[in-house]
Amino acid sequence: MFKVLNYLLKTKVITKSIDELSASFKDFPFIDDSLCQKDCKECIERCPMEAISYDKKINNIKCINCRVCSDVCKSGAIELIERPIIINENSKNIETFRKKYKDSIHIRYVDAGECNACLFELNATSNSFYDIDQYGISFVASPKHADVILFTGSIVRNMQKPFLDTMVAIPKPYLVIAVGNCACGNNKFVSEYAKNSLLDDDFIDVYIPGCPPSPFLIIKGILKALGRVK
Amino acid sequence: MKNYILFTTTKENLDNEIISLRSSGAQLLTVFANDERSVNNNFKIYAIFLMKNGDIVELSFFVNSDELYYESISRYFPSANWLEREIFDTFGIKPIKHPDLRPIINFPDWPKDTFSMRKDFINKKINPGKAKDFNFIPVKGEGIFQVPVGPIHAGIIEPGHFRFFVFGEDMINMQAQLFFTHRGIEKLIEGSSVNDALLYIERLCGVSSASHTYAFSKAIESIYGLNTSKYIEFSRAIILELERLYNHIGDIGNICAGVGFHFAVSRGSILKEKLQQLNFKYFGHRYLRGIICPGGLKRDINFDSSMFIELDHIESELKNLFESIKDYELLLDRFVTTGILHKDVAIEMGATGVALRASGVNFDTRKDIGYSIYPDLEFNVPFQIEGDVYCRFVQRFEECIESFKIIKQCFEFIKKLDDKVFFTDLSEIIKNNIGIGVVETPRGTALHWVMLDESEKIYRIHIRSASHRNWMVLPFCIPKNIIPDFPLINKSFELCYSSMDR
Repeated sequence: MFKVLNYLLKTKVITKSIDELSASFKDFPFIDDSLCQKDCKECIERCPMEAISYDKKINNIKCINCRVCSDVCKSGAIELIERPIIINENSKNIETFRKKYKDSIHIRYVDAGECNACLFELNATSNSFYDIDQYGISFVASPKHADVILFTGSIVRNMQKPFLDTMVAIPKPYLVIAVGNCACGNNKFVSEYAKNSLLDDDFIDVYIPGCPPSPFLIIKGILKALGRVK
Repeated sequence: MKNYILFTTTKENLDNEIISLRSSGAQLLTVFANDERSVNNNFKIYAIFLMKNGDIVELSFFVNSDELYYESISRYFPSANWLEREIFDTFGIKPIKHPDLRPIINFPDWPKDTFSMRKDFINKKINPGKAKDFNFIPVKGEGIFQVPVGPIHAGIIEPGHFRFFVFGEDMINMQAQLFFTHRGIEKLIEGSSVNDALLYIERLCGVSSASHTYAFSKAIESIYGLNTSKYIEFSRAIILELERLYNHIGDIGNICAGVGFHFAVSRGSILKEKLQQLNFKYFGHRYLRGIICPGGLKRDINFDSSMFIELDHIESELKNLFESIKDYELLLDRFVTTGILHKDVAIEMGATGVALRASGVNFDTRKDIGYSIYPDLEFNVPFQIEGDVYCRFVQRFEECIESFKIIKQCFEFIKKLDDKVFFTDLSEIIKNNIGIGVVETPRGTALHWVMLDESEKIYRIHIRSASHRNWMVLPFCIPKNIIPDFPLINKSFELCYSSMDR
């Protein structure tokens, strides 16, 4: 017991706020038009996810931050930036939700079929570095206690029923947040027969893409959904 | 890896071969089927064994498409049980005399006589059928109740359904329905090129990403007959050990979450986070993706001595943490004698990794198969005796210390090497169309078996992850424990659902 106390007292505060963290998580490629050679198609051809279009725009949901494009770029036009978070503009939920819940929210998490990297990043949001609790956000055990449903993974066939059951159990109004590329609608990592046949992705309100998104981005995405950061 | 011996037999002669393998003390690595009707008009079953001397033996036999059955291997190697159920589910080949042929991958609403791994299966969306309850083996008696748990659990964990049969608080039996996150990865990879397949392999299990890409790369390199340079192998070993470290250290903290000891949970997660930030800083990815590839490494890594200073800090912090919690009464009270895995059960049911070594078996693929540069390095394989939660907890710590040792030695070797070429092109000629890769992942031995077709596309891949082996063992640790200890036992194994379900 005394050993534990002794060890505890030696450590200082290591928790950082998201403003302090934003500089250290840059993993999304950004093509600088002024440096890019227009006739070079190297990054477009080498991208394994076909995420770069012919006018050199990067698809946020397809990009898996494999860093191939920044490796092959000869003119150094690709720099890494913080990944943008996407808010579904057609969603009517967000306005009503924001009016009702300003500060503290409770999240029910569902793993709907993924590789568990996003899941471990979600776990990491509650470690002492990021400490998601400092923003009044907490994960709860029952959908009945939750305000937000947050899921990872492209909802697979075997998970579609449990997922729909969770959606039914959660009180209204609720918000749906998709974390990770698979959840955001990139279905490349699921075989056709294992895909769900009941849901399409228009029920999602906020997309936090990344493969996996860093804990920092997940926290920022949740705060952005609540309208607490820009 | 020492030798890879190919060995064909017939359906009729199978029993004799299996019995002689069993008496020679071989370890079953995997059993799977392959639809080779387009090549030789037959299905083929492959069984892969690890011999006592470190050789790997591949036993294969044809199954004619008119007579879709063979005599089950599970009768002699019980660890083949779930694998043969998978064969029955996905190929429709019946292992006769198998003790339990309930569906395992296919859910109750899966259409009848639809076999997803056959080549003539039409890969399209399948509408959900009528929902039915899962088919569990009933446990009957006065005062016995069923407790269903899952698929969605209370914490941030992966989905799986557990059915406990309890008498009061004591668990009599536990059965698990997994495959909720079944993504059809093996089917998905079929027909794709090696480079595309690598992306899927990286996303097989998020936290064993580097190990699985390593095993896959080894399989592909053996197909092309490529021997990678020492520099590549030492760099890869550093990456693999870093992966083991962040997993084990995270787990040391996470096991303590099972008893609500938050001090250790938060310390463990801080150290894990430090390691992952180190991964991001030096390798560009928190989960070490996009580095290992067939032929070498995707990019040159600058092994800076500052990385090793950071690792030294983490090592001393880990030692401090472990020193301060290892004899804490609260932990000992809950950990010791909980969830005992007996040595003979562990061997018989094919337990692997930490679970096996904590039960008193001194087996490690790095030492016993001695793949890659591991024979050049000096390290011990720690093991415990009792096989309870506490042993698995201590085992993880001792393995971490060995990993730190390995990383330092690799760094010393790299400094001495002159030739620092990080990538060798795969040759244009295929040496043989089958390749195998074995690796010690943080959770234990994983195996990748790859077969290429003439156009160098993947014809069939079979992956047996470490968790696939340990999931079968978990129910044996359950009886004589109380229900509140189940999360603790489960955490001490740290099983991965996604590489199990694939």
